Amino acid sequence: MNERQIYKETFSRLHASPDTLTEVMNMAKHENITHINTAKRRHPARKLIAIVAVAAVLVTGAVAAGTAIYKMRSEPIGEYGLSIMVDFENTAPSVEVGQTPILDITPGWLPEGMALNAGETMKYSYEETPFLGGFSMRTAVLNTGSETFRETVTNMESRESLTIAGHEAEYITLLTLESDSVAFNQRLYISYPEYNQVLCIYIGEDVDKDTAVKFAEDLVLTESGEYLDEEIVKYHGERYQEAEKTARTAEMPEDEEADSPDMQRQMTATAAEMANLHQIGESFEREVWQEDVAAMVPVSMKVTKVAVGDDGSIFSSDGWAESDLASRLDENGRAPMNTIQFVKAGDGISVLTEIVAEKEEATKLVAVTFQVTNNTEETLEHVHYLANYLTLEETAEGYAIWEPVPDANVEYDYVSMSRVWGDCGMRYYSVVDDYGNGGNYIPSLAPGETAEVEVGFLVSESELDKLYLNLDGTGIGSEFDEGSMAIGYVDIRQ
Amino acid sequence: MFTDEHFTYLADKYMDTVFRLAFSYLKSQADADDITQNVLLKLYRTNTDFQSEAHLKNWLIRVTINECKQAFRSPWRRTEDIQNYANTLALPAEEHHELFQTVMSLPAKYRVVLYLYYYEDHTSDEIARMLDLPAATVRTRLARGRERLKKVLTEAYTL
Repeated sequence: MNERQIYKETFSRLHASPDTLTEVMNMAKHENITHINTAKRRHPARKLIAIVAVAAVLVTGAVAAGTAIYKMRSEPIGEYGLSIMVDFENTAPSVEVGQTPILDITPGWLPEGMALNAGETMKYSYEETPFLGGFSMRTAVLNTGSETFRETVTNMESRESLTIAGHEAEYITLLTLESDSVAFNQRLYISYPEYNQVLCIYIGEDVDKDTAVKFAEDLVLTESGEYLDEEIVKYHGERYQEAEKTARTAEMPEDEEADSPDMQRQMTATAAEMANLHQIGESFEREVWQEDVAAMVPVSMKVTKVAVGDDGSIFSSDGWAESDLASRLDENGRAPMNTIQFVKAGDGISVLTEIVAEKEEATKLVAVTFQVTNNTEETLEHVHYLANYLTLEETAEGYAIWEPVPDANVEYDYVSMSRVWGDCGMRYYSVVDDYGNGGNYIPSLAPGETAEVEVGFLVSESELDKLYLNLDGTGIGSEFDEGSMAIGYVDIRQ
Repeated sequence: MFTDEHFTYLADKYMDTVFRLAFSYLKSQADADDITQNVLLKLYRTNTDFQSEAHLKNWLIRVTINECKQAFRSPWRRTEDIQNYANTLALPAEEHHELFQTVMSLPAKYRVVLYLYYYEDHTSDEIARMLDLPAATVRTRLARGRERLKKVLTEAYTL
């Protein structure tokens, strides 16, 4: 019997209380919910509503929706915070939450040289800086039935009320850290009561205000014919801000156990915990994820080669030139200089986040070749692989996660690098399968067959003599992991 | 909206799914029963035009998760002795008992993905979409949760 069968046998014993349905029907009848015996289906027609048609109606800066008047406004919080909200005047607006349409939003005009980013629906960038800067859009529900739109903006530099194509809008500029990347340093919030939504446009520092306003004014909003799910709408606003908070903390604190010692990041490891450390050329066993058979299956792995250099000539084929890795090189196709910033975090309300120290360092391309061998008697399909590195230093007790330190003695909360990815993940991989999310799968491995994979990283020069490779498939690179250590990291220090 | 007859059919079919997911999250039979009633009442009230039963089931799972998150933060959340509840389940063998205890000892974020994967047969990509998480995060949680279960299931584990 396998683990899935045991799991099902165990949990099939759990049942809802036998009077659940009776209770539900009693509650429903108490609320006088009546269901007719003929199923009703909506047949929504696609409607095209150009914003310019609305402009003629609005002169006061307030927009009517039924008998309610919605008004967008903002209030400062602390020195750098801003709360943006949409309130209503007079009567509380009635809203059919289930009638909030899902919108198709397309630009009627784009700045020259800007295009939709590949694979995206509402992100536009200049072609020479794909996925950076430009415009990125999202919508939020204006009235969920229990509350109206409210969002907190931090690190605000200035704000201004505007009218965009007849709709109330707030234009905000933000204070951002200096970096080599293209930050979003402006936002536009535009209220669309007729769709029960607020549109938020993130604007890159490569776009000026007049261009942003023209882009927003010429947007075309179309009802797609589908509607936001009623239950999802009720959580729309708080879900989005929860998600933002989660992304900012880089953790997934979904439950109280997140703060328990068991869930703290492990930043040091003893020599005993690291006993399974492997060397280049050494074969080791691990299990890989096999989604199709719903099991982990044994394979052996071996790192065979590590190459370091300043350009893509270190890779054995040209595939790297189409990868994320190539987009990080300088205009000469060489590994660029890395700006390492030591940042003191602020709350963005009373205290700004600031760079307290900074230094420049060269980067290097690192190519790692490893082999995966099928040790079973069955052909394995879609064999998942994932490589990432850790930077470790040896200590008296064992090992510790290493991070760059500033030259001066300053207090800081985290390190930011302009050129090196924070997740230490592979940005080029040579074997791609048309499967899964990302395609990092070996399509097929016959019994006894070995596949060779080449992966690429961009690292800061000071990290080269601290590099350890994690091939356990979890992608965990910022902390020690019990499971990863049991399989064993590979010493690829240079 | 459903006819009463259709709703009864759907409620009967999915109430245990909702209950087991809620229990996996909250570790409380009483809270899980409350959540099940709330979710089914929402299903009774909803105007959502479900395109298929798979769409409906996904809707139920997402609403259940949202309800559980709200309940998790409630100061009135009940804590119960898992052992007492396990004794009422009439589990057929010791390994089932050990599995149940082990699963319930894991953090909620592992319990939920394990349930959706092992019991509801969803792929890691489907679970990621249901829970609005990156697929890599789901796989990490599955792998870690599974590692802990393996120690319990060593004797019963086969490929």
